[in-house]
Amino acid sequence: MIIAIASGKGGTGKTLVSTNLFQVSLDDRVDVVLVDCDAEEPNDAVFLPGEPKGMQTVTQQMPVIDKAVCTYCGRCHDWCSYNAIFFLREPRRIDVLEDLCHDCGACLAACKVGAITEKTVPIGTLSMRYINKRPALIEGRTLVGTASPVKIIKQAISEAGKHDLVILDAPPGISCPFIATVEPADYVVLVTEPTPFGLNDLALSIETLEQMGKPHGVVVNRAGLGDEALYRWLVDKGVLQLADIPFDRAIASVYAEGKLVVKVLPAYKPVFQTLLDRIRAQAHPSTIA
Amino acid sequence: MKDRGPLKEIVVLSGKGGTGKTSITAALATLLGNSVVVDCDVDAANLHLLFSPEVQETNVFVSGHKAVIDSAVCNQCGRCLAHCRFDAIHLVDGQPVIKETSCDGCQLCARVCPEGAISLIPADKSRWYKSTFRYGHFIHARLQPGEENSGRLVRVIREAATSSAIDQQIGILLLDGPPGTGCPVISSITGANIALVVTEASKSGLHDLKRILSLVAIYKLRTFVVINKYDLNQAVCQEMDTFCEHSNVPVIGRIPFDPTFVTAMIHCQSLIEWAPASPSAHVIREAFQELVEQCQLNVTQYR
Amino acid sequence: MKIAIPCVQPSASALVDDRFGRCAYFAFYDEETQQTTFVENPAAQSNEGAGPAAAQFVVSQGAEAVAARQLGPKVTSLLQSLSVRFIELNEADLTIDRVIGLF
Repeated sequence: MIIAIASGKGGTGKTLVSTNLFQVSLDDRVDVVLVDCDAEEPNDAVFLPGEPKGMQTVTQQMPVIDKAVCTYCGRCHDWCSYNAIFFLREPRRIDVLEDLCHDCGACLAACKVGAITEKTVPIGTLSMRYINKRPALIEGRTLVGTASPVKIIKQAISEAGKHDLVILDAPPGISCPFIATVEPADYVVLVTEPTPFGLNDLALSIETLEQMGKPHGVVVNRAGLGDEALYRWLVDKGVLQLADIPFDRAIASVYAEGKLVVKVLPAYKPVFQTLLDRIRAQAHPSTIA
Repeated sequence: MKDRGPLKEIVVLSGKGGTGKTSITAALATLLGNSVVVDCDVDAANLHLLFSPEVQETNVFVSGHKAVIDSAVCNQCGRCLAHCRFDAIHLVDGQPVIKETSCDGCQLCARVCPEGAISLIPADKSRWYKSTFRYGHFIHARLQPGEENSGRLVRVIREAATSSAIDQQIGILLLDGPPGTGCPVISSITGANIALVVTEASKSGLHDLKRILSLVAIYKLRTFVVINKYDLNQAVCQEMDTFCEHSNVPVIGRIPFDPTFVTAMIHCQSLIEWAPASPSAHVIREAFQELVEQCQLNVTQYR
Repeated sequence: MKIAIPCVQPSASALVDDRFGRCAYFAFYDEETQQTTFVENPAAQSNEGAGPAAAQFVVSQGAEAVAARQLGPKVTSLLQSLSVRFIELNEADLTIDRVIGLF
């Protein structure tokens, strides 16, 4: 079962929910793996023990044009939808503009004389952390300046493989990196806060998930802060509210220290345990009767 | 001929989301009094909630193209499937179908299709707006959920903002940047002179601060840091101070953990408007003054 | 020498377009014949890489110099490598005939 923890807006508590949910699952002896898909700002590792063990490089293919073979026909340039091939017939000039390349393979397919080959270039890393010799956390990380984390996210998720529970900590927003993360998920948990910003961004995320036909529920973090508008909206829209995490400076403080709430403030452990049970019931509705 | 003078572009960044970047941008907009403000967080735009803008102009943004397969023409040869590197074509009962959210618009499938069954249609559901609000001009956008190219949309609205600033003879552009370090962030940094990085005193905040500072260093912006919720964790705050000092980046404000920001937000106001005498407002005002002095901002209407 | 100038409308009285890659039109001024022609910029609607695509277009049209407000780093290095001169227009709101008058 794959669960994505997402939020339209950053900083609503996605990482708080992901890491604590991971810990209660682990305490429950569930076969669980956490995947940090926020490859631009991965943070889950801050909350879990251990040093990264396996480190892999995520690469993309980059075309290389052999100018001795090239006939300067311009077909690769015509086929490139990203303006990544600079081409002039007169004066003869052909260059790959690497930062514009999307690794689609069109130029390679276009070339009739075999002048184009590909080299691999690094765009990010995957690292593995283990707890009791079992894989616990997979972290995707873009190299600073990499334009799109999508490939790194997809690779991180596939690296996780099959487990009873795979928790994906999704990147913020509603564009391609978010889609790439929620796409393989069986169920999406949206974390929000009861403020105008929180509601606005939640509405956008839910609109996206509805278009994708993804089942989803909402966790309200910092409940008690802000106002009632969010709750009214959830009722109006018929969106399932999975849990309330109260607004408590103690939680913020534990989080700021890079520690897990369920470990330092055991009073909150039942909140995450109940959340886990409810998510499992939602993701496998057939098993509850 | 109009003399535009050098346009100063201040971009507010955070690395991590939820640090209070937008609230601080709104406070700065209030203090500037008359500026062009751009919400570059097109993925999850929020500033409009505080500004209640009056939209003057709505524009269409074509974010890219998506392939569609005409099943009546398709002969199910599978060539498109073999060529697609974005895993965007799947077989549904033997018929290749494009998964719109995965399609990158590279057009390769259409080019290799022997039957000409594939065409590309523009993704044109995103919008961007030119508006006015109580402290000047406001450029914002709404990216259609799941659409790409937020980086280019940021570029489009930045260009619109620059020309608005020139038309209105306004010398300061204030940009609320997107979170992260990716393409839209790079688009919002490109061309800016000054970066104000808003972070929060937490371990993950520190981690993200280092990442975003390494990015702005590449673009050689004059950079300043504001630490929000500094009292959440004094040790981390200290570590941030030390890190910034070593990186030669001045910390120009330390704002306490203050729920007043949320109260102001609920009332659709910036903190400076809602609680002008609060300790947080005081810190922001001082940070603003520091920015004005260090960057020689020509602030005519200083509130 | 043939000079490419980005502009907002296909007319001599039109303003210089501040953008290079995404300008609406290019004015090509031929110093020898003193003729100006206007061509729509095919790169203007590119999703990405409009700058390099526009640079490629003006060079393919025979431009040996580009007169513009500013160029991005990618375009600058491409034009340099092709020995195309960049004439920086320091004044705002210039019209095409005023720019041509500079030559």
